[in-house]
Amino acid sequence: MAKILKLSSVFLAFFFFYFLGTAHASAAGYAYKGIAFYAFENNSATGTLPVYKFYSASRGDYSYTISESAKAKLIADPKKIYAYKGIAFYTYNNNSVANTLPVYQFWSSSRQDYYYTISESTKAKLIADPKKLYAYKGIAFYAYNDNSIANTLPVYQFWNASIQDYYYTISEDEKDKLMFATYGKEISVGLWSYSKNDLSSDAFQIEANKDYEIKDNTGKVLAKIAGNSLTKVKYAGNYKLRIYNSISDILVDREVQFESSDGNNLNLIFNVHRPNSTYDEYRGKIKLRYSDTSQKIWVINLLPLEQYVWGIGEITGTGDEDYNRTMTTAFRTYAYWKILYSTKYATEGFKVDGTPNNQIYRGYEWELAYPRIKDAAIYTQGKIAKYGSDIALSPYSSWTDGRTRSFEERWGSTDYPWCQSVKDSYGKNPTMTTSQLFAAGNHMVGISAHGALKLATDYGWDWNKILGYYLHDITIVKTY
Amino acid sequence: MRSKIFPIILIAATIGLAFYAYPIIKGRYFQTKEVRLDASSEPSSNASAPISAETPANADENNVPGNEETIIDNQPVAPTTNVFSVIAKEDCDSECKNFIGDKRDYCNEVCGFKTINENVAGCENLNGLQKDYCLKDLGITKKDFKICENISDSNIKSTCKNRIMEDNVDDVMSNGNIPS
Repeated sequence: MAKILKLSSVFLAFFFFYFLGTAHASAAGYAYKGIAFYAFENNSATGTLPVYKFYSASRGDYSYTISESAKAKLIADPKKIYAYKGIAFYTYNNNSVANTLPVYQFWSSSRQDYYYTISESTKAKLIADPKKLYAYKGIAFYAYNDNSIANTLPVYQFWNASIQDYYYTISEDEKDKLMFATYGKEISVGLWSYSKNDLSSDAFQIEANKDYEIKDNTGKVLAKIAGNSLTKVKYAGNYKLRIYNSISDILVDREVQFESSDGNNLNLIFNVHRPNSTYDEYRGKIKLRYSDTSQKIWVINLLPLEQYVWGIGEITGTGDEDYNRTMTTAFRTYAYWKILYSTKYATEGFKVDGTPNNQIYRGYEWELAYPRIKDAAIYTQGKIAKYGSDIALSPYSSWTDGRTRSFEERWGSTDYPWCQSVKDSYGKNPTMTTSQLFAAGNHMVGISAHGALKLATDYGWDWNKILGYYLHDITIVKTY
Repeated sequence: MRSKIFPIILIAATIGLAFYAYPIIKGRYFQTKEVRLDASSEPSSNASAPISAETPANADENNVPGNEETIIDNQPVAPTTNVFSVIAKEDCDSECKNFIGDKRDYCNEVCGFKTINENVAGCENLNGLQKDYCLKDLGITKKDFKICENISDSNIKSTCKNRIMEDNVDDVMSNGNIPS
């Protein structure tokens, strides 16, 4: 009897852990894998047909067909295994059009997933795979393997490890949404600015770790550039920017943007040859934008919030890890608020200033030099402090005089109730008076940085507890 | 007596779980091959044999099913509280270019594309949105939340208060020297 009881318990435990434990798996996101092939966004090209998208919730699988009869069959299927999701893109159902290549379809019964590839070598590898993970099903449709044909656009491939599904989209918006689902919303960071005179005499210079493209302010691609090819930009008068060196001279109106040619800006690193700085390398996109208000030309870095946090230069990450986690959560909360509500630099075209005016941001070289910041950011990924539905935007102060100040006490508003006064013997400056601390810029509202460090280092508090101590009644919320 | 009840409950629970788990297991591991989107039944049958193909522009040769990298797990993006009921964040991101006339002016005021008039005065003599715009500039210039409270339009009021908050926080951020 004891054996039966033990076995039954194990059996029950297995079910509880296995089924309940995987109940939320489908909430996980899609990781970008690259460009699968090229097709058309609409039917303007002669002879193209719609490729229909279907989704099976029970299989966790997106599938695609160009066949009208397959579409009709699936829609009429009484079991409704696949639901019709609309037209994914347009392409050809035969190879009568020059330069088109077959896109092969594979099916994995263990993963319940359809996979598509235009690559002959991938096809061969899958067919030769001794594990037979994916079975070859035939030619799905015909498309292009580059964008040499006018009006073709990349069809992006994504992989969802949790539901084991390959997904394909031609939509740039959807691609961005899927990519940023893991790394957060895009933030624009003002790195530095040129006067018109400065950029008339000295050129802005840029190159990348991989191929990049140049776009004008309408999003039109002006050129595709090899990664190691240096592009230069100068102010040419009358609000025009002259782009040259890597290409024949082009004049653009007010704005030029540099971004990845392969659609993946997450692993794109630009060297912007920043004047008088040792920090030249930045993840994500780079934009030059002329501001009618300030009449300056700003160099702006656009990247996902999470990658921005990796390059924050406010700390080096050498302190206790819970201090680093406290501060990276504070950095992220501050920046998240800025993305949604900042208007201060709207006329200049960005949300945060990368200088000490806001949070110091030094980009990729800082990220490499001080990797514990990134470690702390990954540990707290996507998490911000909230007070009810409000983002608990909180200043952080280096020292206090033994207590923090409420927002109301310091700035006269009751709208920020998470900033209440608390005792802070941990962050009390050992020598300076209150007036000296204020004069040195210690507003003492919100998080006490030295207090947080001491609580983490000497008292063993974790980052949640530290934030909860300094910010009244907050919750830590994962936003992505 | 007690020693008999426990195994009975356990067995009953096991049967119950098995009952509910059956469709899950069936769905996951023993799916019948129902209607599929098999390519073999699709493109025209006169499609010729595959011609020589190169790797697509960015298709990584390692990008073969079965070799997927582990991805960082994430949860769905929580819906964000949108401060604008009429002007969306996307409208600000597109620099209000989707609007014309008064709506564009309003959008510019809400999103901060209109430069703050630091010499603003006489707001009490104005009406409607013009009064709100005036109070917003005044409140921001004087960094006085109480002035923002007198703004009627909720979007303009939010912009006013958020901007003062932003200026206050940013004014002190630069003096931090926090421990590294």
